[in-house]
Amino acid sequence: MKRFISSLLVISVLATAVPAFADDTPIGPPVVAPLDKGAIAPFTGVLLSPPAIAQIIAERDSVAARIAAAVYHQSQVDDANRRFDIDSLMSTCTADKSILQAQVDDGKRQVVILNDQLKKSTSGPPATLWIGLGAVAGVALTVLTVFAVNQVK
Amino acid sequence: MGVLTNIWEFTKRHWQAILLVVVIAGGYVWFKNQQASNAATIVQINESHQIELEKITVARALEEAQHKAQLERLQQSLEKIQQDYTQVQATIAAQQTAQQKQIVQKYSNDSVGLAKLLAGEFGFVVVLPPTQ
Repeated sequence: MKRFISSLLVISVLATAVPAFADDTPIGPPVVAPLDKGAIAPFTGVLLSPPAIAQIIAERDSVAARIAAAVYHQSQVDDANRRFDIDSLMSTCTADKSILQAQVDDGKRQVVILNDQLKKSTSGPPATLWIGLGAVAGVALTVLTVFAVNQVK
Repeated sequence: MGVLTNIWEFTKRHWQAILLVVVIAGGYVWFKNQQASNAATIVQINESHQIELEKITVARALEEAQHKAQLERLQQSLEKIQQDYTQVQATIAAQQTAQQKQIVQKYSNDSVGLAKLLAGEFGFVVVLPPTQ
């Protein structure tokens, strides 16, 4: 049964197959025919006047120059924009560097100021003050001692 | 001696009040001294900040001026580039017009020559009419 179904499928495929052929209609080479006024055209086409043909040829000849000019123009524009970007970034970086340096300098100055303040807070009065206080206290103590001894007597 | 005796008697009677006054006066002097020291420090830090701010302001002003000058230079460059491009386009157009005129003058009465010229440019095949 399986063989029968397989054979039937193969036969049906072969029977219903449609062959496809490539389109081999020749286009032919592009042709241009010179015509004098009043002459019969050798084929159906478009008749161009000498100025139209001249324009076509001149347009074609100038295409390369136009492309080169456009490319050069765009490269000049890109160069100018890139130069501007570089200069702009350079200015910004220089300014940022100056600002960061100013901040660092300020930080250093603050460290010095706060260190000075710390030294003042932690260190005691100067030696001359202690000497002066000692002298005054000695004099006062002596006087009071003498006075107290006299009072007792 | 009488003066000292009086002082001694006065001190004996009011030594607590005198001690309190001395402590308060000492504390006040110490507090004022600390305050003055802190104020001096703050003034110094503020001066340092002022120097920093001036430097920042100068740097930003310089950057802004440079950006302005750079922008002007860019605009001038772009204008010059556009002028050059316009001039080149005009030159090409003039050359094209001259070439067109030359072709028309040379081949206005020479259909075969014009056909050969066109065929040479684009790779066409020239088909001459049977009468020629």
